[in-house]
Amino acid sequence: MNRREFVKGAALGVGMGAIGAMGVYSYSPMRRAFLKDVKRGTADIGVCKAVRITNISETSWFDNGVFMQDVTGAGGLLVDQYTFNWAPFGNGKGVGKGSYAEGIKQIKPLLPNKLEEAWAIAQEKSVHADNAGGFSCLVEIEDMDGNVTKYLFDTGWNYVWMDTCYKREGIDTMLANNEIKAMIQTHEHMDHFWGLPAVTRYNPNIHIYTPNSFYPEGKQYIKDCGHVGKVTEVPKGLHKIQDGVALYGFDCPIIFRVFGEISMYCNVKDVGLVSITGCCHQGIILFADTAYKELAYEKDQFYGLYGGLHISPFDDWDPKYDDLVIGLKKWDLQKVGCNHCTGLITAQKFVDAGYPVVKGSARFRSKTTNYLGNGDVIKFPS
Amino acid sequence: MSLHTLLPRPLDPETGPESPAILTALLSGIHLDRRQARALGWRGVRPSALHGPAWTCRVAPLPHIFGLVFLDECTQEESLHGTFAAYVFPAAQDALLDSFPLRALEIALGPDYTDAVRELSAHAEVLAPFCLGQVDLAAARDGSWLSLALSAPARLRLVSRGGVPVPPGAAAQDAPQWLVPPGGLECDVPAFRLLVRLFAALAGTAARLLDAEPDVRLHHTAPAPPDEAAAHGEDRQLHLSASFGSAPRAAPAPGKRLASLPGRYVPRPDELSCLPVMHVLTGFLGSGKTTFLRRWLDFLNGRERYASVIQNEFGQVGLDAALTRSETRVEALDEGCVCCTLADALRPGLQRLLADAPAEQVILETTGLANPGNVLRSLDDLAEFVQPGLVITVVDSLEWHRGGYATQGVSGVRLSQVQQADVIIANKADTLAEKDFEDILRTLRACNAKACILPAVQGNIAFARLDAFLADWQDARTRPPSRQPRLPILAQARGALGTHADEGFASHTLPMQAPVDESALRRMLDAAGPGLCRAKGIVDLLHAGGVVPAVVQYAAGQLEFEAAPQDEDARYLVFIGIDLAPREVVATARGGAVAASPAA
Repeated sequence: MNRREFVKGAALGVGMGAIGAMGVYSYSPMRRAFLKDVKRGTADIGVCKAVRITNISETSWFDNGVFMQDVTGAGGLLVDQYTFNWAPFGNGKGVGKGSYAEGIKQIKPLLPNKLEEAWAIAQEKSVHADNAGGFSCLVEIEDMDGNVTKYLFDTGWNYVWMDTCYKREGIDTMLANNEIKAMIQTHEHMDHFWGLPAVTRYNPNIHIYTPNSFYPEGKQYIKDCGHVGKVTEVPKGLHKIQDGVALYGFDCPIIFRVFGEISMYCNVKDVGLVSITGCCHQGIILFADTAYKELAYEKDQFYGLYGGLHISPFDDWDPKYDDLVIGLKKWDLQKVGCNHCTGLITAQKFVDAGYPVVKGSARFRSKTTNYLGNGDVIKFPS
Repeated sequence: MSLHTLLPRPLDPETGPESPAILTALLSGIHLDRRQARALGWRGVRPSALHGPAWTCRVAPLPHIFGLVFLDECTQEESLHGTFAAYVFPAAQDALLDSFPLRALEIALGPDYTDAVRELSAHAEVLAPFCLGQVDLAAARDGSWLSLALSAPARLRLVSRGGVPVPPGAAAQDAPQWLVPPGGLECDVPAFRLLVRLFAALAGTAARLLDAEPDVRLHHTAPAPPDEAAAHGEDRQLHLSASFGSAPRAAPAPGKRLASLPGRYVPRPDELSCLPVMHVLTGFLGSGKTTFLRRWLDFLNGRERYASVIQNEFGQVGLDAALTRSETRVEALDEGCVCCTLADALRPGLQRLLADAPAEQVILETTGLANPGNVLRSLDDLAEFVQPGLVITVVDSLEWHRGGYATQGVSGVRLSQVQQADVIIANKADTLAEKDFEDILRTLRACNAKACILPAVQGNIAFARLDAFLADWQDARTRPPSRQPRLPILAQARGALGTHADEGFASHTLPMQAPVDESALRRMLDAAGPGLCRAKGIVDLLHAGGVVPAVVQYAAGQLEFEAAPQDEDARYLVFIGIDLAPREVVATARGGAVAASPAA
């Protein structure tokens, strides 16, 4: 009898007890305190009543072929974003030959109030300035008493495009009236961050949250945009900002020399957890696992998801699982609004697989109704 | 060196353990450049965090899955010290598993093994029989040094004092009564030799990202003392360390200094090459090549793995390029077929593309009539620009079913496209009954026993399987099926000489300025004659009282419409087939509107 037959027999009951009879012994060669007993879902962030998200812009850039040409022309994915000579930090020397210092020098006197002039300079000195769009959304949290708190999530890229989008959704007025409590800067990428003066022109005092791993250029840019309000650097892990709402800092290296991304978890009373991401560079798997491990949420239900959905920074070792549709299946999501870096076909696959995708209207240069597109709104619960 | 290049913030163990963050920075950081990661041996990583930080991964050249589970971190005044349990998970059928503990074998032969391994974080305790060693990570709090260390027995051996008897009645008569005799080895795993591959990839990653050469040391200690129930017959414990930066003066790594990291993966020349990989995409007219390509590009773009596309269409106008543009860089080679008349035309197109945007891969989408054998021959001349990748053939399952190819056999271009493929996409799987589709799969397998055959609906597959399929051949240091030398068959030899005009294939392109309705389109398709294989184009479609710009797709008797790209102004239809009716006849069949349009 070989070992495999023996084990199969044991499983069928023939050799029952044989393995057990060998005695309890440690298979770990280390024989030290093995795993600490970690209880899941212990962090209680409280509850809120509802979450409403308005997509201001999800179109980061308009032509991927042009973008790809810039990236490969500058030397690839590891190149520092501030050196691409992308707008607004162009110095006129061509792709891959820029720097923050040279770029900002040209436009700093114009920030944040003369955005159109600043962008006109950027158009002249930068590569493919008109290809830039941006990612930004408005998150409105209704607390248990019915009061609504507004957060701006990211600030896009192209000054002119973002300013137009902000005006379209009335964000300019909200900012000017101090109706927006804070701005969550999820990460340092150009398409999420460089449109900052389109925010500070209306409210230079706004409270800004960033990951605590911004590079010096990014920290300086916040100042150079005329921002004079409070900046909170969010460390790794959970960071509650109000009842039912927490930010989570993920440590992850990201392309174009960026590090760290903040996501938002909202615990909606009697509904479940709603997760909001910018790009989710940490990967959806880690994003979902982290919520499951750390947070206590209503009905233990992973209810809703909004934003750009990157699957993983890695190839999976089993290629048949290398698919966002498969990766999200086990969470039994009730409502998904996806866009931005999710991918047009991935969004289509969600729809085909019967995911509860909230369709958009494909307006304002959004490319598909499978995306919660520019100007579209999603509510949790409905 | 400074840890700041890995983690651009101060180390702060007070906000939670930092060693998992450093490991994340290493694993994610190296994968920002996929080529670099693969050259270090990484073959996929999966984070798992349901319970605590954990990762599973593959490292070439071993086929096994490795696991790392964060255990604990302690901090000292100037440094932090994290420990990770290191696992090895052989595949259930792998003979190596027979040397693992019986309990490990039992788990591996159970139904949930793969799922448990994928969610290692949640099952670390149950999977403990696969734990063969430990990885330690230590770092200076000021970021001035980093040290990685592997501790594992040379062989993990456990002596079973009482032995493991074969159950009564289960043994053949003269067979030994013991599975493990008393005092015999219950398991005997070459723990260090396996784990050193994982460690070398990790330490090699740190060396690359920190741009520093490690101080590598090896020493051994006596085996751990036997515990109560079973005697450890294990060999000495080996400790291999790799330190970067100014090593801590208080506790220098002990042991003999080694000149280099043992167990490092040696990359092949093609893995170090910066040339893009060129894949050839073939498939008969209307099989769904462009749809498949657009999905593939979406997959690649989502991973920032940029691909350029060369599209070659049989017909005057480049519809496929119009559909793919804005997703990637596209070079269109119109008119004629790349496999026969345009072999030399590939070179300038390729040069333009690569000068424009040096992609990681180039996908050559051939016409539906191309014979991949001819294309492969011309690719040999392009070795200075590209490395050969896969030949992927998209098959229209519905057309194969209707054509009776499963029962009556298949010939011509359809056969050579399938025979010379590495990967066959059995597309339109949803249009056939299960039994009919299985017949098609069987026929494809009979035509090409070595190819990877993937069923697809709307061109959707798990696209990572394409890379994995190619990588497996390359890791085995052999050529994929399409590149293996074969005896030229007669039809192939003839195909190399002739053009598609010799086979009777021709195309008509009709301008379609005026709006048209579906019935008029159907009349035109009928008028083109029974030899029509494919029609496609963009028209202004009269539909529900309005006019909608629509892409027309006709193949295997099926007419379909999809939304036209917004920036595409041209309106036309391309008809491709054998013995097509003259274009005037097709244009006239359109009926009423024809007079208003300068169609012919």
